[in-house]
Amino acid sequence: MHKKKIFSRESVYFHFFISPWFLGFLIFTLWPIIQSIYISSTDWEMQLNVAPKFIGMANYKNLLFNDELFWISLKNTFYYAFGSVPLGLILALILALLLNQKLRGITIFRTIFYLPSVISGVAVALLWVWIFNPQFGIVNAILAKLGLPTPGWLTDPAWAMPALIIMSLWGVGGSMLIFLAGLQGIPTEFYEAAEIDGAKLWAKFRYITLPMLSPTIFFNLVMGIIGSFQIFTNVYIMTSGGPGTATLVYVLYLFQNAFLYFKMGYASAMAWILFVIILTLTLLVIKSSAFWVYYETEVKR
Amino acid sequence: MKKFLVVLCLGVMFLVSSVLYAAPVEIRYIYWGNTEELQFREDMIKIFEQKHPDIKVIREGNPPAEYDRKLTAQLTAGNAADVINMCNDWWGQRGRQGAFADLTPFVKKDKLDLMKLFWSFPIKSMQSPGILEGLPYILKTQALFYNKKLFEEAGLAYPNDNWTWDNFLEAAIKLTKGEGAQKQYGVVGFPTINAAWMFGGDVTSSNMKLVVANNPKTLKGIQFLTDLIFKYKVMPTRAEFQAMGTGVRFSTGKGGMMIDYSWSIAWLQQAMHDPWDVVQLPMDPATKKRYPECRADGLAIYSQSKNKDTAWELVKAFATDLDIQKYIAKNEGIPALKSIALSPEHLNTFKEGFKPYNKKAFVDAVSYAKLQPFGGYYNELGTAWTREMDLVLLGKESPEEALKKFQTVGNDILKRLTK
Amino acid sequence: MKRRIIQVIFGYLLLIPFAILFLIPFLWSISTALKPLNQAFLFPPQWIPKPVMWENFVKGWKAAPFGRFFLNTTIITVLAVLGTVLSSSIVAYGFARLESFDKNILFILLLSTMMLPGQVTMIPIYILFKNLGWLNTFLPLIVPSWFGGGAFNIFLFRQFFLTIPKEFDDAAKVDGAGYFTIFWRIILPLSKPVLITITIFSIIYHWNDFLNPLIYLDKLEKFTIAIGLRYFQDNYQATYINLMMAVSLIALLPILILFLVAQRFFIKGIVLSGLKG
Repeated sequence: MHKKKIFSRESVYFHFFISPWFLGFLIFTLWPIIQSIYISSTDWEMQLNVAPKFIGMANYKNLLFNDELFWISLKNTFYYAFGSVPLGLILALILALLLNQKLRGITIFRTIFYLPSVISGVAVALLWVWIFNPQFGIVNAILAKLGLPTPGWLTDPAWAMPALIIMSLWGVGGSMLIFLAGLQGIPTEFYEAAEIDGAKLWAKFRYITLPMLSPTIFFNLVMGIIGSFQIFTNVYIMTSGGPGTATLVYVLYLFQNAFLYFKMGYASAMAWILFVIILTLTLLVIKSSAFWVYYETEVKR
Repeated sequence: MKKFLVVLCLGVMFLVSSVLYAAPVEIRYIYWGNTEELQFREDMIKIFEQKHPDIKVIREGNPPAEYDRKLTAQLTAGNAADVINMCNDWWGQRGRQGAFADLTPFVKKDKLDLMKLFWSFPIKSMQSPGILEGLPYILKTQALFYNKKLFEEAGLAYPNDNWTWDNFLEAAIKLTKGEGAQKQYGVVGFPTINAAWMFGGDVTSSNMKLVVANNPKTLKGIQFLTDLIFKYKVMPTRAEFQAMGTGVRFSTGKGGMMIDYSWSIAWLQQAMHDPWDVVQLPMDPATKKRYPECRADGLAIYSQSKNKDTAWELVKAFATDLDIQKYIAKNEGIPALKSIALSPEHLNTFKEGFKPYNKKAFVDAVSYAKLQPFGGYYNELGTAWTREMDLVLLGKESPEEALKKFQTVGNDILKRLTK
Repeated sequence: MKRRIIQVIFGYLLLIPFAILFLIPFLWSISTALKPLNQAFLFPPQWIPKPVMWENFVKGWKAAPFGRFFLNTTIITVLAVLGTVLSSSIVAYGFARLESFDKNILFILLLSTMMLPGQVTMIPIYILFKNLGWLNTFLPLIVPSWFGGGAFNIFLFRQFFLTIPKEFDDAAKVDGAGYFTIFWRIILPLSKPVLITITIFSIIYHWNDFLNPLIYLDKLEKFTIAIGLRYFQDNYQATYINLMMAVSLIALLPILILFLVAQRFFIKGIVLSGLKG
């Protein structure tokens, strides 16, 4: 083992190799962060020949206390996150369990489930607008055939967000694969031992599968939270935050403030508040993980 | 010495040739368009570039939903395109805060007799005090669309240009039948602004300083509209419209008539099942006057542009070049140039693949046209109007209350905007 | 034996409904793409169009300069992915194989940047590019990828590199190889699964990117596919939904093909990089 001298040859090489990232960090992360903090304390609106004026915490104050839309967008985002993340995880787990069987043609099914998550963006958003069309879309056509009520989906303030959540479920392929990898990493000896002890299906799931999967659940949960709070493109394309403000999510409102109204300072403050929220939630999950996540090393003990 | 002379000669030749060889002047043109409009603008620009090989147009065509944001970004940053696509309902220079240059000196220089070349309405609607902001190149008006098959089934004669709103109502009642999701309505499209105007009413004063919506004539019109929905039940409710809109209802044969715009023609040609045609909007039985809305798209020059003279060439061409105007007449809609718009060629020939229809109705509408007051700078007013009208059309507010409320709210907005 | 048969039947019984649900959006969009416009708005909705309008694909493609858009998107994607793969692997090699006094701190820094929402730096980065004069060029969409290619990718590479036995490195060192040679000639060739995985992830990300082209590109000729699809959305009530679906499907095709061809490596890559832990 090399001694860690300050300017050892290896250390120099280390810095050389990581320099692309480090430079990028300085230029595209650190400096913008500092700038962003500064901008969020001004009233800058990108006008020519008008210098931004320092206004301290006024942007933050206005956001928290004077801006109804801020709270609405936050509420909508929480609604979306707390809808799509749990449902998504459950669906991903179910699909992973189904895919973990030794059946012929299982790869075809795997492809079918994973594919939607790699195609994203405008094309998919337009497709789902059409699918949710209250009159001609396939969703209501199926509901009508089953004799169920046909809501207005994206045209109805009460159903617009559920529509977006349902749409997000189509893209669980990513977390599903990670669950699948996790499942395939559980040693079969555990299940065999349990069988010998007479354990039934549900017991096997609860006492072997779930605990062994807990690191994977943890990973998917954290990624899911971070991702769902930043939802933007679908809402921008499909509803522009409507009807009314039913789907005005946080990042959309941020975008509007930045690139529609050019209230750069205001939008920067919004970005920071978002960071704090995501950080807090992530730390909460991490802290709680001590109670329910079992790593292999612990189990072996 | 000889070497020096050679170099000198070469140098002079180089200088002279670089002066004579003018690199094309570039101007940026920002515009909006869906896939069809993109193609129209592209063809029009190509015609222009062919005639002006020394000018290159940089296309900044944006999806309609992004245009406003892009243009505002450019204006805010102070580097907007030289030529800007604009609409006459953008209401004055204040609509874009000093964004447009005055075209009057250019018009004078090229001796354009605007009143002779164009209808007065589009030109006047592109003026704000003392300043001409744009030259129109295409007009978009309204007409009454009707489904021939449904009229025949109901035993009704087709509408004509002498119709009044009484005829309209009578037909609407006879055309409404059925129930539920498959119900056939007599009227499936009737913009609220037309309702406000139909009996001579107004929403704002002509100088846009006051909201005057709370008056008997406007009220009579809005009442008529709500009666269509709730009293005579010949028009779908707001909720039903949200499920299936005007265009789709009409094109699938579930609506007898609709008041709609000339830009729907292209789409209808493809989407419509039954035979159809258009006539002018019905008249007020008392005054025999009609009030179709008219919009004109035009080109403006950015007030900070460094290429105003070159930009003017494009503005002038779109509005007055015969080839470009004929192209518009053949492919897109009503050309702004009166001579082309009224020509038999425009009125009687149709785009390849189109079925013939009464184009004249749209052209005639320009003479009676009115400008809707909610565009551009006054967007906020439009939002307030829509809010109140939504409540009325949902049956949650009476027309009187709505107009009264709108007048108060609207005047507050105007006071703030026209400070 | 009987138990096995029941298991198999049960297995398929559960899988097939889900599969159908997941396939429906695709099938529906194909059906709509092939319809003439006057059938797109029928109620109740019909699945099989008559006649089948294969020309919608051509008409839709011609409706806007999609050839240009495809070219632009390809250029951006190729250059950005190249940058991502090269720079993130180099950086990951540093973290995986080289020691330094500040390595742990820097690694924690790297991980924490994964939690930073892009919106925090979006505005200053936009202003940076504006001041550099890079607005309306492809540079803002490509250059950042060459500076480390994203913390997530660095992390994946590092995890994978850690699983390569150090003996390979040591053997090469004995032969006099320098760090870079080891990286280029030994580590990278052994990293095919994760290389393919990250390449594919990266291609998908850049191909579908909507926000960045939206805010950085002005000229029509520079637009990407994602922006181009926006032209089908109208302010007016009804759009040419069939053409829109047709072009959307064409836009999805490259990703689809890529995935089908590479999915074996792809999924192996995720598993091997030990993501589950």
